[in-house]
Amino acid sequence: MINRIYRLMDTKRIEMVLREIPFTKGDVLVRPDYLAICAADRRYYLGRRRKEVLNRKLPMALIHEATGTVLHDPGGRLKAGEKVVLIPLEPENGNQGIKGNYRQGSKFASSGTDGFMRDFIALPHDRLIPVGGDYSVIYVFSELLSVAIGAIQAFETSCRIDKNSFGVWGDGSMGFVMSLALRCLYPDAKIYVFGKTARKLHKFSFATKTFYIDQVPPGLIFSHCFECVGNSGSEAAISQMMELISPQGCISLLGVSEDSIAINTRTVLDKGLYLIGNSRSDAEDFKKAVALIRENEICRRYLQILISEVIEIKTENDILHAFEQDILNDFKTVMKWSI
Amino acid sequence: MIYAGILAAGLGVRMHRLDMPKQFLPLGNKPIIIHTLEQFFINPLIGRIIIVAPDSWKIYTEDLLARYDSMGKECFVIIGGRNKVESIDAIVRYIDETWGIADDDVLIAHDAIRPFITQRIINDNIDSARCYGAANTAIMTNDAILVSKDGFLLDEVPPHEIMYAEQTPQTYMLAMLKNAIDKAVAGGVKLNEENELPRLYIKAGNRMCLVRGEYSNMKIINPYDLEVANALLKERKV
Repeated sequence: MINRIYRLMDTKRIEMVLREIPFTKGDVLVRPDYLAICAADRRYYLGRRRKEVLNRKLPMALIHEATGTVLHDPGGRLKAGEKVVLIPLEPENGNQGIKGNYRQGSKFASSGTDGFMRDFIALPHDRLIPVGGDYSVIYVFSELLSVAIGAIQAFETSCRIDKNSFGVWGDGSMGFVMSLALRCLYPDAKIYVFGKTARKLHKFSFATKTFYIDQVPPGLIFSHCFECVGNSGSEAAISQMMELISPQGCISLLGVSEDSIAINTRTVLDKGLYLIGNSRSDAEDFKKAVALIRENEICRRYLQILISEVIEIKTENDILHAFEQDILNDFKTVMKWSI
Repeated sequence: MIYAGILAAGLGVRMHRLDMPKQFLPLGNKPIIIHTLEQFFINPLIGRIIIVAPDSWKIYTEDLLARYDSMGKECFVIIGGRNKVESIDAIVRYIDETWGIADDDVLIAHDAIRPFITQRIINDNIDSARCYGAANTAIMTNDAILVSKDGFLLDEVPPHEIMYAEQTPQTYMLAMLKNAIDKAVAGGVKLNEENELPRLYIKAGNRMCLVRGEYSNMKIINPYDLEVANALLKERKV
């Protein structure tokens, strides 16, 4: 079948290419409905990756956050018209003791292989999660939520002290979803959010309290924290976390940084801290994320607030417009895929 | 019901391959017509598909269809006419005789030799036909259009900004289309002499709106087009 793939060829240059879909027997054919732009997509689009990375990975279709409609399932497990969330991870069939998203041979859409900016996507059945009856645009945030849930799962396996209070650093989309996941899964816990921008922090109305990073009141302490800052801000954020966190607390790292970050290991040793790395998510995290959206009204309501803009895509120019708008938007830019 | 009519009745004289009409020639790993059909197989709005084939190639078309997964879509092969207007008329009559025509039935007619059609074009055609009665797919011309009655002297250069090149699909509310054809035939029009159905349709006092096509929604008519189409599908370095 002929497919159209919208690939980033170079900085700010997206072009359509025509390709025959390599249709593996049994794959389910899906048409994307909603695609959300992630910070990683934005970095590629703006050329803010190292030159050798860009040379190696481009041309490549961006986007790994997507929902879609099933067009055809030769295996008959999914019905035509059924709404699904797409899983970007293609796990390597290696050591089953290691989570799929950490196996070094796993592939990930929009990082080395084409992402979801295509007219159709052929995926194995187990990379699609049916949404159920109340389908809406917010399911496009399942990937982001699955990363937060994966981080919480990892935290749970290392946590040695109480889970009564959490600090989340980062007032962007990841910080929002991380804080929201904590709010939904630990409804009685105190959730403190740390950021720099007033208009962004105002959106965290479900948090116990929000703070500017330079106006933290003395004496504030919490059990665990989650870093959702990334880039050059990571270093200062981690340093501040280590100052405020309780001994034996967990610091979960989620922010991606292009550069190496200095960490004061003396404090890590003194306080007996746990540093947990988190990246991406696997199918189990996705299932939990979709279930949380489906079953938790608080989650559904607040995810709606995460949308900065929904842009209908009918032409290649609309795609460029969406990426340009995303640079200006505080939170998520969603593309309604009508191309 | 939305019917797709796939126009595959041409014999491909311009392809210089008299052994096989162009719609059956391979593009990538499949015949051109199968690529085209697949875009209609997967569109959830399309109900039934009717393919008009040349008389002598009807059985071959049926064999070809049997070899590929139609993804649950019902397909019917009928014999086409001498030109596009007669072929679409044959589809209208076949639908009328087989199922009858309901007021909300739609026919989206598309050239078999335009395999790069997009889902957006199909959906926009159906939406527009439902709103305005009929839709035609068009793109702005890149070249200025010249009018010459004898092919030697230039008679006219129409303003570039109002010139469009027609593609397919053409989409009609079926009942209105049948009326327009019946009226034209009753008025003495010979369908084999009228090459443009939209002309006949708007002459009957109907409206037809334009849907934006794509330059890539190209027609594969001659060997050069086929080479370009095959090249478009190949992986290449930037």
